[in-house]
Amino acid sequence: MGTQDMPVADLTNHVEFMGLRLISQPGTFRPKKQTEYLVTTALDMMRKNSLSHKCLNIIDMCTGIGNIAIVMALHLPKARIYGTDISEKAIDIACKNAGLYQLEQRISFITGDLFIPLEKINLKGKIDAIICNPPYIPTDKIKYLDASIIEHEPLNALDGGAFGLSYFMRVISDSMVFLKPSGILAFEVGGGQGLSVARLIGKKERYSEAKICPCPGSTEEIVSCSLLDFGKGIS
Amino acid sequence: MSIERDLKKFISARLAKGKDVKTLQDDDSLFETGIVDSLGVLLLVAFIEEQFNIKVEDEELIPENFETINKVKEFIERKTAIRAKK
Repeated sequence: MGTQDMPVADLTNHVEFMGLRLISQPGTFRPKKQTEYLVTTALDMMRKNSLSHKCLNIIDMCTGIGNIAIVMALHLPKARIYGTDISEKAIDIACKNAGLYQLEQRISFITGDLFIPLEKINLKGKIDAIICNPPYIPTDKIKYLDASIIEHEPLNALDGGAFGLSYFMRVISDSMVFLKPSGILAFEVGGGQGLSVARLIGKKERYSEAKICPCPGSTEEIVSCSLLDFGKGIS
Repeated sequence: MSIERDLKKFISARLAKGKDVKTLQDDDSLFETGIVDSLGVLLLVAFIEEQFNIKVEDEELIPENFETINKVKEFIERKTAIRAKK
């Protein structure tokens, strides 16, 4: 393959995300523009709930190169962030990215499968927000993706299992254990998946009614809710 | 009414969205025919939970249980048999 076919990020080993320049390497998932809307949605929810200036514990699930965690840390000066990802290579780069912005003391990047690496840390019931951009392409649809995506993105960052919902189901289920009452859960979901993920959230009967917001300029959507606190959800 | 008839009636009324289901065979893939997508499978789950009084667990939400009418029927039969034993 010639360099003319390579994404710019693979040529420069850098990407831009919300005005930040971050290290990215071939074989790691590159942050997408629509994910910026996930971050702004989560930050808006925290502002609405007057959380912005509090000491917060936040999980960035499926953190990749750490872009969400880093922006959250820069916007929330008292927040402690935990980023997990199954890819050791992505976590290595995420640590370097945190170093670029002197955030090593406030962000812990840990390799592992979803919540499993966090089991060792005493975080159950202590998390204010879980932000998650998981793999969400249904396994049987991977073969229809554009060749440029299949060739340049790691498969495990794309494949969302059966119906594209496998990671959502696990995160929705396990978040109930980690979130504080009224804690926020926000996902980026694939085009047309918003209602499905909202339905999975509703099925648990432990969260506020899920809100679905289309990402400006793309087919993806943001789905958000909060853990119910004696019947009270956030607005 | 049989499980198949209940399922076909629901699929035709709620999931097919104008697609012709008259020729749909019990072993045809509901996914490949485009009748069931990620939302459709959750609507189907809600229907069978209510209609057959069973609970579908997250780990049971897999294509092996929902790919065809026959597979859905077998899944319902397994679940109702387990419930009957309890």
